[in-house]
Amino acid sequence: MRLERIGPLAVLVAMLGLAVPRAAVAGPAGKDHNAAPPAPGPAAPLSYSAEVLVLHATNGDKGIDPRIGDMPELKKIPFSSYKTYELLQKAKLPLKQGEPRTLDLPNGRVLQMKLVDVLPGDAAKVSASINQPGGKTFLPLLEVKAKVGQPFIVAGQAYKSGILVLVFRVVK
Amino acid sequence: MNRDAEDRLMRYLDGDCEPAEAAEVERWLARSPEARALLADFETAGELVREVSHQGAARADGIADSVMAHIGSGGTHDHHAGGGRLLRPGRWLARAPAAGLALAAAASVALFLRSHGGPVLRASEPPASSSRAPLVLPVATVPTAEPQAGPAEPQGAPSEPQAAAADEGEVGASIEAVDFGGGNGTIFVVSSGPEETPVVWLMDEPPTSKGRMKPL
Repeated sequence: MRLERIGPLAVLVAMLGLAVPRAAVAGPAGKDHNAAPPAPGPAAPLSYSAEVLVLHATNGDKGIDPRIGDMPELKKIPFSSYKTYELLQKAKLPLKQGEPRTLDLPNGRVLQMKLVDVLPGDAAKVSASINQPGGKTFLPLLEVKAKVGQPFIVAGQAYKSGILVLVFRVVK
Repeated sequence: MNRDAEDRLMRYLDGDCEPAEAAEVERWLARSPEARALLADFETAGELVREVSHQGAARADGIADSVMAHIGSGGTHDHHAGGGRLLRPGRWLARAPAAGLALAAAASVALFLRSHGGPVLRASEPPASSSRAPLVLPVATVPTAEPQAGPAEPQGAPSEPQAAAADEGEVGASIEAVDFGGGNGTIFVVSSGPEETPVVWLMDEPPTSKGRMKPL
Protein backbone atom coordinates (compact mmCIF):
# COMPACT_ATOMS: atom_id res chain seq x y z
CA MET A 1 0.00 0.00 0.00
CA ARG A 2 2.55 2.50 1.06
CA LEU A 3 5.06 1.69 -1.59
CA GLU A 4 2.43 1.68 -4.20
CA ARG A 5 1.47 5.14 -3.15
CA ILE A 6 5.02 6.25 -3.23
CA GLY A 7 5.24 5.33 -6.87
CA PRO A 8 3.84 8.59 -8.18
CA LEU A 9 5.83 10.41 -5.60
CA ALA A 10 9.00 9.17 -7.19
CA VAL A 11 7.77 10.55 -10.47
CA LEU A 12 7.08 13.82 -8.80
CA VAL A 13 10.47 13.88 -7.24
CA ALA A 14 12.07 13.06 -10.52
CA MET A 15 10.37 15.87 -12.26
CA LEU A 16 11.10 18.39 -9.58
CA GLY A 17 14.79 17.88 -9.14
CA LEU A 18 15.53 20.52 -11.60
CA ALA A 19 16.81 23.47 -9.72
CA VAL A 20 20.35 24.23 -10.65
CA PRO A 21 21.81 26.70 -8.23
CA ARG A 22 23.03 29.82 -9.84
CA ALA A 23 23.66 33.33 -8.69
CA ALA A 24 20.44 35.09 -7.96
CA VAL A 25 20.27 38.11 -10.15
CA ALA A 26 17.16 39.88 -11.18
CA GLY A 27 16.64 38.98 -14.79
CA PRO A 28 16.02 41.58 -17.40
CA ALA A 29 12.82 41.41 -19.22
CA GLY A 30 13.11 39.36 -22.36
CA LYS A 31 12.68 40.83 -25.75
CA ASP A 32 9.55 40.20 -27.67
CA HIS A 33 10.61 40.05 -31.27
CA ASN A 34 7.10 40.74 -32.35
CA ALA A 35 6.25 43.66 -30.18
CA ALA A 36 5.47 45.95 -33.08
CA PRO A 37 1.81 46.83 -33.38
CA PRO A 38 -0.08 44.89 -35.98
CA ALA A 39 -0.03 46.31 -39.42
CA PRO A 40 -3.16 48.15 -40.42
CA GLY A 41 -5.50 46.40 -42.76
CA PRO A 42 -8.70 44.49 -42.81
CA ALA A 43 -9.41 43.00 -39.45
CA ALA A 44 -9.24 39.24 -39.22
CA PRO A 45 -12.51 37.64 -38.23
CA LEU A 46 -10.86 35.88 -35.33
CA SER A 47 -7.79 37.19 -33.66
CA TYR A 48 -6.00 35.29 -30.98
CA SER A 49 -2.91 36.05 -29.01
CA ALA A 50 -0.86 34.09 -26.57
CA GLU A 51 -0.33 35.75 -23.25
CA VAL A 52 2.86 34.47 -21.70
CA LEU A 53 3.85 35.04 -18.12
CA VAL A 54 7.42 34.12 -17.30
CA LEU A 55 7.74 33.42 -13.62
CA HIS A 56 10.84 32.72 -11.62
CA ALA A 57 10.23 30.19 -8.88
CA THR A 58 12.73 30.14 -6.06
CA ASN A 59 12.84 29.42 -2.40
CA GLY A 60 13.24 33.01 -1.44
CA ASP A 61 10.97 34.73 1.01
CA LYS A 62 9.10 37.15 -1.18
CA GLY A 63 6.00 35.11 -1.76
CA ILE A 64 3.99 35.39 -4.91
CA ASP A 65 4.45 38.54 -6.92
CA PRO A 66 1.11 40.36 -6.90
CA ARG A 67 1.61 41.22 -10.55
CA ILE A 68 1.06 37.57 -11.35
CA GLY A 69 -2.56 37.82 -10.35
CA ASP A 70 -4.71 35.02 -9.05
CA MET A 71 -3.10 31.72 -9.85
CA PRO A 72 -4.31 29.03 -7.47
CA GLU A 73 -2.05 26.55 -9.22
CA LEU A 74 0.98 28.14 -7.59
CA LYS A 75 -0.38 27.25 -4.19
CA LYS A 76 -0.69 23.62 -5.08
CA ILE A 77 1.88 20.91 -5.08
CA PRO A 78 4.30 20.79 -6.80
CA PHE A 79 4.34 24.54 -7.37
CA SER A 80 3.85 25.22 -3.70
CA SER A 81 7.28 23.72 -3.09
CA TYR A 82 8.66 27.03 -4.19
CA LYS A 83 8.08 29.91 -1.84
CA THR A 84 8.68 32.79 -4.19
CA TYR A 85 7.27 33.49 -7.60
CA GLU A 86 8.46 36.59 -9.34
CA LEU A 87 7.05 37.86 -12.58
CA LEU A 88 9.98 38.32 -14.93
CA GLN A 89 8.17 38.92 -18.17
CA LYS A 90 4.69 39.36 -19.46
CA ALA A 91 4.25 39.25 -23.18
CA LYS A 92 1.39 39.07 -25.59
CA LEU A 93 2.18 37.39 -28.85
CA PRO A 94 -0.35 37.92 -31.60
CA LEU A 95 -0.98 34.58 -33.23
CA LYS A 96 -1.65 34.00 -36.85
CA GLN A 97 -1.58 30.73 -38.68
CA GLY A 98 1.69 30.16 -40.45
CA GLU A 99 3.41 33.01 -38.68
CA PRO A 100 5.42 31.87 -35.69
CA ARG A 101 6.12 34.34 -32.95
CA THR A 102 9.12 34.27 -30.71
CA LEU A 103 9.97 35.49 -27.28
CA ASP A 104 13.40 35.62 -25.69
CA LEU A 105 13.38 33.91 -22.34
CA PRO A 106 15.53 35.08 -19.44
CA ASN A 107 17.66 31.95 -19.63
CA GLY A 108 18.73 32.71 -23.18
CA ARG A 109 16.40 30.26 -24.80
CA VAL A 110 13.80 31.33 -27.28
CA LEU A 111 10.15 30.46 -27.06
CA GLN A 112 8.33 30.11 -30.34
CA MET A 113 4.58 29.98 -30.61
CA LYS A 114 2.27 29.33 -33.50
CA LEU A 115 -1.43 29.23 -34.04
CA VAL A 116 -2.19 25.79 -35.40
CA ASP A 117 -5.92 25.99 -35.70
CA VAL A 118 -8.90 27.99 -34.64
CA LEU A 119 -11.43 25.78 -32.94
CA PRO A 120 -15.10 26.24 -32.28
CA GLY A 121 -16.14 27.40 -28.88
CA ASP A 122 -13.63 30.16 -28.35
CA ALA A 123 -10.71 27.81 -28.44
CA ALA A 124 -7.55 27.43 -30.40
CA LYS A 125 -4.85 24.90 -30.95
CA VAL A 126 -1.45 26.41 -30.48
CA SER A 127 2.02 25.02 -30.62
CA ALA A 128 5.07 26.03 -28.68
CA SER A 129 8.70 25.12 -28.80
CA ILE A 130 11.73 26.22 -26.86
CA ASN A 131 15.03 26.49 -28.60
CA GLN A 132 18.50 26.88 -27.29
CA PRO A 133 20.40 29.33 -29.47
CA GLY A 134 23.40 27.59 -30.91
CA GLY A 135 22.35 24.30 -29.43
CA LYS A 136 19.77 21.64 -29.66
CA THR A 137 16.11 22.29 -29.33
CA PHE A 138 15.11 22.03 -25.73
CA LEU A 139 11.42 21.42 -26.22
CA PRO A 140 10.86 20.65 -29.87
CA LEU A 141 7.12 20.62 -29.79
CA LEU A 142 4.17 21.16 -27.56
CA GLU A 143 0.68 21.34 -28.98
CA VAL A 144 -2.16 22.42 -26.80
CA LYS A 145 -5.85 22.94 -27.32
CA ALA A 146 -7.02 25.70 -25.07
CA LYS A 147 -10.09 27.74 -24.53
CA VAL A 148 -9.66 31.45 -24.33
CA GLY A 149 -8.38 32.37 -20.92
CA GLN A 150 -7.59 28.86 -19.77
CA PRO A 151 -3.97 28.56 -18.69
CA PHE A 152 -1.48 25.87 -19.35
CA ILE A 153 1.97 25.76 -17.86
CA VAL A 154 5.44 24.78 -18.95
CA ALA A 155 7.78 24.60 -16.00
CA GLY A 156 11.13 23.25 -15.03
CA GLN A 157 13.81 25.14 -16.91
CA ALA A 158 16.64 25.83 -14.54
CA TYR A 159 17.26 29.48 -13.92
CA LYS A 160 19.16 31.33 -11.21
CA SER A 161 18.69 29.13 -8.18
CA GLY A 162 15.25 28.19 -9.25
CA ILE A 163 13.18 27.37 -12.24
CA LEU A 164 11.18 29.18 -14.85
CA VAL A 165 7.46 28.69 -14.91
CA LEU A 166 5.84 29.75 -18.15
CA VAL A 167 2.14 30.37 -17.93
CA PHE A 168 0.31 30.53 -21.23
CA ARG A 169 -3.17 31.72 -22.00
CA VAL A 170 -4.86 32.10 -25.32
CA VAL A 171 -6.55 35.46 -25.33
CA LYS A 172 -8.53 37.42 -27.83
CA MET B 1 -9.79 4.59 -1.19
CA ASN B 2 -11.72 6.77 -3.53
CA ARG B 3 -10.53 9.99 -5.01
CA ASP B 4 -12.77 12.13 -2.86
CA ALA B 5 -11.10 10.73 0.19
CA GLU B 6 -7.68 11.31 -1.29
CA ASP B 7 -8.67 14.83 -2.23
CA ARG B 8 -9.81 15.48 1.27
CA LEU B 9 -6.52 14.27 2.64
CA MET B 10 -4.64 16.46 0.22
CA ARG B 11 -6.72 19.45 1.17
CA TYR B 12 -6.04 18.69 4.78
CA LEU B 13 -2.34 18.50 4.11
CA ASP B 14 -2.46 21.71 2.11
CA GLY B 15 -4.26 23.42 4.94
CA ASP B 16 -7.24 24.05 2.72
CA CYS B 17 -9.81 22.40 4.96
CA GLU B 18 -12.24 24.38 7.01
CA PRO B 19 -11.88 23.69 10.73
CA ALA B 20 -14.89 21.42 10.80
CA GLU B 21 -13.65 19.40 7.87
CA ALA B 22 -10.17 19.27 9.34
CA ALA B 23 -11.57 17.88 12.55
CA GLU B 24 -13.47 15.31 10.58
CA VAL B 25 -10.34 14.32 8.73
CA GLU B 26 -8.48 14.00 11.99
CA ARG B 27 -11.14 11.70 13.34
CA TRP B 28 -10.90 9.69 10.18
CA LEU B 29 -7.14 9.51 10.50
CA ALA B 30 -7.47 8.35 14.06
CA ARG B 31 -9.51 5.35 13.08
CA SER B 32 -8.11 4.49 9.65
CA PRO B 33 -4.60 3.07 9.26
CA GLU B 34 -5.00 3.32 5.52
CA ALA B 35 -5.71 7.01 5.73
CA ARG B 36 -2.72 7.51 7.99
CA ALA B 37 -0.51 5.65 5.58
CA LEU B 38 -1.73 7.71 2.68
CA LEU B 39 -1.25 10.92 4.57
CA ALA B 40 2.26 9.84 5.44
CA ASP B 41 2.92 9.25 1.78
CA PHE B 42 1.65 12.67 0.86
CA GLU B 43 3.84 14.18 3.55
CA THR B 44 6.77 12.19 2.23
CA ALA B 45 6.07 13.57 -1.20
CA GLY B 46 6.22 17.10 0.08
CA GLU B 47 9.42 16.45 1.93
CA LEU B 48 11.02 14.83 -1.05
CA VAL B 49 9.98 17.64 -3.30
CA ARG B 50 11.47 20.18 -0.98
CA GLU B 51 14.61 18.18 -0.55
CA VAL B 52 15.15 17.51 -4.18
CA SER B 53 14.38 21.03 -5.21
CA HIS B 54 17.42 22.11 -3.25
CA GLN B 55 19.73 19.64 -4.81
CA GLY B 56 21.51 19.49 -8.05
CA ALA B 57 19.88 18.18 -11.11
CA ALA B 58 22.16 15.20 -11.06
CA ARG B 59 20.04 13.60 -8.47
CA ALA B 60 16.89 14.17 -10.40
CA ASP B 61 18.57 12.87 -13.47
CA GLY B 62 19.39 9.69 -11.64
CA ILE B 63 15.92 9.34 -10.31
CA ALA B 64 14.47 10.01 -13.68
CA ASP B 65 16.70 7.41 -15.21
CA SER B 66 15.65 4.87 -12.68
CA VAL B 67 12.04 5.67 -13.26
CA MET B 68 12.42 5.49 -16.97
CA ALA B 69 14.32 2.26 -16.70
CA HIS B 70 11.14 0.74 -15.45
CA ILE B 71 9.11 2.00 -18.29
CA GLY B 72 8.97 -0.58 -20.98
CA SER B 73 8.55 -0.13 -24.65
CA GLY B 74 5.14 -1.67 -24.98
CA GLY B 75 1.67 -0.35 -24.57
CA THR B 76 -0.19 0.32 -21.44
CA HIS B 77 -1.85 -2.98 -21.23
CA ASP B 78 1.32 -4.86 -21.86
CA HIS B 79 2.93 -3.08 -19.04
CA HIS B 80 0.00 -3.61 -16.85
CA ALA B 81 -0.01 -7.28 -17.56
CA GLY B 82 3.61 -7.44 -16.68
CA GLY B 83 2.88 -6.93 -13.06
CA GLY B 84 3.54 -3.24 -12.92
CA ARG B 85 1.67 -0.95 -10.70
CA LEU B 86 -0.32 1.75 -12.23
CA LEU B 87 0.38 5.08 -10.73
CA ARG B 88 -2.35 6.45 -8.61
CA PRO B 89 -1.15 9.88 -7.80
CA GLY B 90 -2.77 12.43 -5.64
CA ARG B 91 -4.86 15.19 -7.02
CA TRP B 92 -1.99 17.42 -7.90
CA LEU B 93 -0.58 14.78 -10.11
CA ALA B 94 -3.61 12.96 -11.24
CA ARG B 95 -6.42 15.14 -12.33
CA ALA B 96 -5.67 15.21 -15.95
CA PRO B 97 -7.76 17.02 -18.48
CA ALA B 98 -10.21 14.69 -20.04
CA ALA B 99 -9.07 15.26 -23.55
CA GLY B 100 -5.57 15.44 -24.81
CA LEU B 101 -3.62 12.51 -23.68
CA ALA B 102 -6.56 10.96 -21.94
CA LEU B 103 -4.27 10.10 -19.16
CA ALA B 104 -5.59 10.70 -15.76
CA ALA B 105 -9.05 11.99 -16.25
CA ALA B 106 -10.05 8.50 -17.07
CA ALA B 107 -8.28 6.88 -14.22
CA SER B 108 -5.86 8.92 -12.19
CA VAL B 109 -2.92 7.77 -14.17
CA ALA B 110 0.22 9.75 -14.37
CA LEU B 111 1.96 10.17 -17.63
CA PHE B 112 5.67 10.06 -17.76
CA LEU B 113 7.20 10.57 -21.11
CA ARG B 114 10.60 10.38 -22.51
CA SER B 115 11.54 10.62 -26.08
CA HIS B 116 14.82 9.94 -27.71
CA GLY B 117 15.49 12.08 -30.67
CA GLY B 118 12.18 13.28 -31.74
CA PRO B 119 9.20 10.97 -31.56
CA VAL B 120 6.08 12.86 -30.83
CA LEU B 121 3.28 11.60 -28.70
CA ARG B 122 -0.05 12.72 -29.96
CA ALA B 123 -3.25 12.41 -28.09
CA SER B 124 -5.03 11.10 -31.13
CA GLU B 125 -2.48 8.38 -31.68
CA PRO B 126 -2.33 5.61 -29.20
CA PRO B 127 1.22 4.44 -28.76
CA ALA B 128 0.54 1.10 -30.33
CA SER B 129 -0.57 2.67 -33.55
CA SER B 130 1.97 5.38 -33.70
CA SER B 131 4.05 5.38 -36.80
CA ARG B 132 6.81 6.99 -34.87
CA ALA B 133 7.24 4.35 -32.28
CA PRO B 134 9.05 3.40 -30.24
CA LEU B 135 7.98 5.96 -27.86
CA VAL B 136 6.70 5.78 -24.40
CA LEU B 137 4.05 4.44 -22.25
CA PRO B 138 1.18 6.58 -21.28
CA VAL B 139 1.23 4.68 -18.05
CA ALA B 140 4.42 4.15 -16.18
CA THR B 141 5.54 1.98 -13.40
CA VAL B 142 7.84 3.36 -10.84
CA PRO B 143 10.61 1.55 -9.06
CA THR B 144 9.94 0.76 -5.50
CA ALA B 145 12.19 -0.20 -2.69
CA GLU B 146 10.57 -3.54 -2.20
CA PRO B 147 9.30 -6.15 -4.57
CA GLN B 148 5.82 -5.48 -5.66
CA ALA B 149 3.31 -7.90 -4.39
CA GLY B 150 0.25 -9.04 -6.15
CA PRO B 151 -1.10 -8.26 -9.55
CA ALA B 152 -1.35 -4.88 -11.03
CA GLU B 153 -4.11 -2.83 -9.62
CA PRO B 154 -6.87 -2.52 -12.13
CA GLN B 155 -8.56 0.31 -10.38
CA GLY B 156 -6.46 2.96 -12.00
CA ALA B 157 -6.25 1.54 -15.44
CA PRO B 158 -7.83 3.55 -18.17
CA SER B 159 -10.11 1.51 -20.30
CA GLU B 160 -10.60 2.44 -23.90
CA PRO B 161 -14.21 3.49 -23.45
CA GLN B 162 -13.17 5.64 -20.55
CA ALA B 163 -10.46 7.22 -22.56
CA ALA B 164 -12.80 7.82 -25.44
CA ALA B 165 -15.36 9.36 -23.18
CA ALA B 166 -12.71 11.47 -21.62
CA ASP B 167 -11.52 12.57 -24.97
CA GLU B 168 -14.92 13.92 -25.74
CA GLY B 169 -15.17 15.71 -22.48
CA GLU B 170 -15.06 19.43 -22.26
CA VAL B 171 -11.87 20.81 -20.92
CA GLY B 172 -10.32 24.19 -20.73
CA ALA B 173 -6.94 23.15 -22.02
CA SER B 174 -5.40 19.89 -23.00
CA ILE B 175 -2.06 18.71 -24.21
CA GLU B 176 -2.39 17.39 -27.73
CA ALA B 177 1.17 16.50 -28.56
CA VAL B 178 4.52 16.82 -26.98
CA ASP B 179 8.06 16.08 -28.00
CA PHE B 180 10.66 16.34 -25.29
CA GLY B 181 13.51 15.97 -27.74
CA GLY B 182 16.43 14.33 -26.05
CA GLY B 183 15.30 15.30 -22.61
CA ASN B 184 12.81 14.16 -20.07
CA GLY B 185 9.54 15.58 -19.04
CA THR B 186 6.32 14.91 -17.30
CA ILE B 187 2.76 15.90 -17.96
CA PHE B 188 0.27 16.29 -15.20
CA VAL B 189 -2.48 18.61 -14.15
CA VAL B 190 -3.02 20.87 -11.22
CA SER B 191 -6.40 21.70 -9.86
CA SER B 192 -7.26 25.34 -10.23
CA GLY B 193 -10.77 25.41 -8.95
CA PRO B 194 -13.38 24.26 -11.41
CA GLU B 195 -10.80 23.78 -14.11
CA GLU B 196 -7.73 21.66 -14.35
CA THR B 197 -4.55 23.23 -15.60
CA PRO B 198 -2.28 21.01 -17.67
CA VAL B 199 1.37 21.26 -16.82
CA VAL B 200 4.37 20.18 -18.83
CA TRP B 201 7.34 19.84 -16.54
CA LEU B 202 10.68 19.75 -18.27
CA MET B 203 13.75 18.10 -16.91
CA ASP B 204 16.38 20.64 -17.59
CA GLU B 205 19.81 19.49 -18.58
CA PRO B 206 22.19 19.89 -15.68
CA PRO B 207 25.20 21.78 -16.95
CA THR B 208 27.76 20.17 -14.74
CA SER B 209 26.31 17.15 -13.07
CA LYS B 210 27.39 13.74 -14.12
CA GLY B 211 26.62 11.87 -10.98
CA ARG B 212 23.96 9.33 -10.53
CA MET B 213 21.99 8.74 -7.44
CA LYS B 214 20.48 5.52 -6.42
CA PRO B 215 16.78 5.28 -7.07
CA LEU B 216 14.47 5.98 -4.23
